[in-house]
Amino acid sequence: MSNEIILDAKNVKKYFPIKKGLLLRHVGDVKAVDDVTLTVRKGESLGLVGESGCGKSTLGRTLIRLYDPTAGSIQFKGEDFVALKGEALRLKRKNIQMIFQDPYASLDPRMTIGQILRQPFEIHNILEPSQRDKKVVELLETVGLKASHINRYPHEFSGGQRQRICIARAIALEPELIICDEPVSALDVSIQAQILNLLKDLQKKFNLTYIFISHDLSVIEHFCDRVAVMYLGKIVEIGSRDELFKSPQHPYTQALLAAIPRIGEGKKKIKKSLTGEVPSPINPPSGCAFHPRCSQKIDICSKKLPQLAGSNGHQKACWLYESETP
Amino acid sequence: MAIPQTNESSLTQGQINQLEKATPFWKIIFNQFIEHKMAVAGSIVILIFVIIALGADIISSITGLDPQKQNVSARYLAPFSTSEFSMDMKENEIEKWSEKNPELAVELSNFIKEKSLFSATDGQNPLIGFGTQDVSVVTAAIASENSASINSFKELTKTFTTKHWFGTDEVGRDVLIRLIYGTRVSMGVGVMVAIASALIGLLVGSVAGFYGGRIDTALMRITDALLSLPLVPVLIVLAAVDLQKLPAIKALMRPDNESIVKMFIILCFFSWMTVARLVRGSILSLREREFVLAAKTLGAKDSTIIIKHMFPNVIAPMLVAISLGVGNSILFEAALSFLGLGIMPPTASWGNMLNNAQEVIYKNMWLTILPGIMILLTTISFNFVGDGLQDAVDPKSIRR
Ligand SMILES: Nc1ncnc2c1ncn2[C@@H]1O[C@H](COP(=O)(O)OP(=O)(O)OP(=O)(O)O)[C@@H](O)[C@H]1O
Ligand SMILES: [Mg+2]
Repeated sequence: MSNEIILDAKNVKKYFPIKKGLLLRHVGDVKAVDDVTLTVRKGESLGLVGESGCGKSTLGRTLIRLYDPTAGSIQFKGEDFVALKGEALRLKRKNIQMIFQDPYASLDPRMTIGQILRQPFEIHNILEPSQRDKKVVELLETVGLKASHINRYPHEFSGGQRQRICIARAIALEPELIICDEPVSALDVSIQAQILNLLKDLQKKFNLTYIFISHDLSVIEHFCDRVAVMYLGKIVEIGSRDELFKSPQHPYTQALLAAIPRIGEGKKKIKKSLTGEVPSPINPPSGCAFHPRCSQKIDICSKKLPQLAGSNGHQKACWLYESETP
Repeated sequence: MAIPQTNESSLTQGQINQLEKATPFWKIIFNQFIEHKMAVAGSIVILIFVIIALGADIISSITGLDPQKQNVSARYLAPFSTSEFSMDMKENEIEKWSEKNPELAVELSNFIKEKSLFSATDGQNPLIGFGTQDVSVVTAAIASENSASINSFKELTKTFTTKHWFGTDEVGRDVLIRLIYGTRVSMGVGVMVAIASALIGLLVGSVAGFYGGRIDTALMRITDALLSLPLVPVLIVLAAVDLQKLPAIKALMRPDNESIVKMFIILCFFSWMTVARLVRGSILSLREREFVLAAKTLGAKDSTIIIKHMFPNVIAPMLVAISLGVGNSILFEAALSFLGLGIMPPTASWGNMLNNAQEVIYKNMWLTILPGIMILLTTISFNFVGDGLQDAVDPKSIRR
């Protein structure tokens, strides 16, 4: 891992407008991603964790420009990625790829594996057409599949095999950054480990950088170098894996960690686990969005939004750690 | 761009070429389809009807049956009976024959007088008097004779009788040939309406699905509004509208196909909505499907995404909708024609044949049953085919 920053996102917001009525009046926004600032270093795996609906996928899709950010800037290797449009964006896309959660929906059911894996080369007109099949076989073997699979359809594969095909497609254009959106949550536990190991091997081999989205903290702990915790569209804590898992600081992170069953710890931490529903991202609570569920809330929490702060790359957005009071 | 440094492949190009070939997707669909026995039976019925419809003119010229030819002396004949021309018609035909072959006519007249085959009253042409008797009498009288004139006359008398396999209708027209021509009209209208409305639906649905927003809302409200109209009363009102007043449509119409064109337009106008909703729904869901997003992150152009991913995934449900739509259109056409508002006589359609038969439903039941069977058979067949296609094109149900 180097210190080179590959992706630098500043104050990224993604609001989905809610339109109602015959004239589609704009009546509000789903604030799926609300003011996220994040840097990703070359060669690392940055974990993105949070409860369902907190905006992890939306953030991932915004970073890769599947969605246009409502506000904020995204720099990829020092180049403004938000300003890119049309053809320029299309050509730049090959540097960032994505692996999706559902391996069943990720492959066009009407195309053979060969057609699917030839597509990246066809799109960017790379390699002689006659060379592409050879390349596809190489890709298949790289991800642990057989050459004989090339002429089969996706429905003939298991979930784990399909995810391997998706991985092969994602690495075909030799991207530098891959966003993995819950790549193993649809798979059996035994298969999960195989896929995670494959991703790790590929990372070493091709010097890949991952943004790894998951709601499963044990997977994150196994896989990531740094972890960002999201709550209701915002990052509430970010730090290296070891620090974050050893000394979680934000009450939300503490509650999440307490929910992981650990051998030998019995039930003693259960009391800190989360209660209540995730509030709606349309009307988030005032101040710190977590305050209605927080066991350690103080007066200011419901009044003012805490900012990410901290040293040594371990930052949290929580009033408990702010020295000065406003 | 550099080629990714993956492992060197363990296979050579030659070996790759020898790998088991992919089954093309249409073949997978076909194999699935033929497992659906009823759908196969349906396709065979449809195929037979299509051949009959296309070959109607040929059948007509071979059998000498004419769907418009009336014979008041042979109304409501039962199936498998034989009709004979009336005296007037025979007289007409004989006169025509004599004009065409004057020598033969003179020769035959002399022959009749000579053999006193017919005792003519004053002023009566013996030839006509002889010829207009019952065909059986005439043929018996000249059966053993053999001369140019008699042979020619024998040919003529043969055309005086017609075998009606399915009987005749209220003006003595042959029901079989009318059913055959009716197949052409009813299936033609049904298929054309289904295809045309599928195309309209595809256009509306894809515009709504792709652009979204206001356009989508506007188009879908129109669709909903049309869907919520009570169809039969509206069709009845529209069928009474005189399309001849519209100049653009007038150009398309000849007097003999006016009611067909009108039927086509009306039915198209009311049957595109299902397809439009289907296409819009598919496109909206496809847009968010991961494989489309993956193509986008690979840098695929919009056109590539539409042609390679959207179109093949939309066309399959559309085919299903078309085949189900044909059955519906045939039913609607029949219903309107039955009410006397659809295809106008003398053009035959199954619906107006039913209409004509409704007064004699107890006396001459076959007149209602036969078109009814045709309607039932085609509608069921198209529905089975639609069903079979639905199973066959669903990627989830694909087995090997
Ligand atoms: N296209 C969209 N239009 C409107 N709202 C959306 C859209 N996509 C996501 N949302 C909303 O944004 C919020 C965040 O959704 P997102 O899918 O990013 O969550 P997530 O963290 O990935 O959840 P999960 O773990 O279930 O995948 C949710 O409230 C969701 O309803
Ligand atoms: Mg998600």
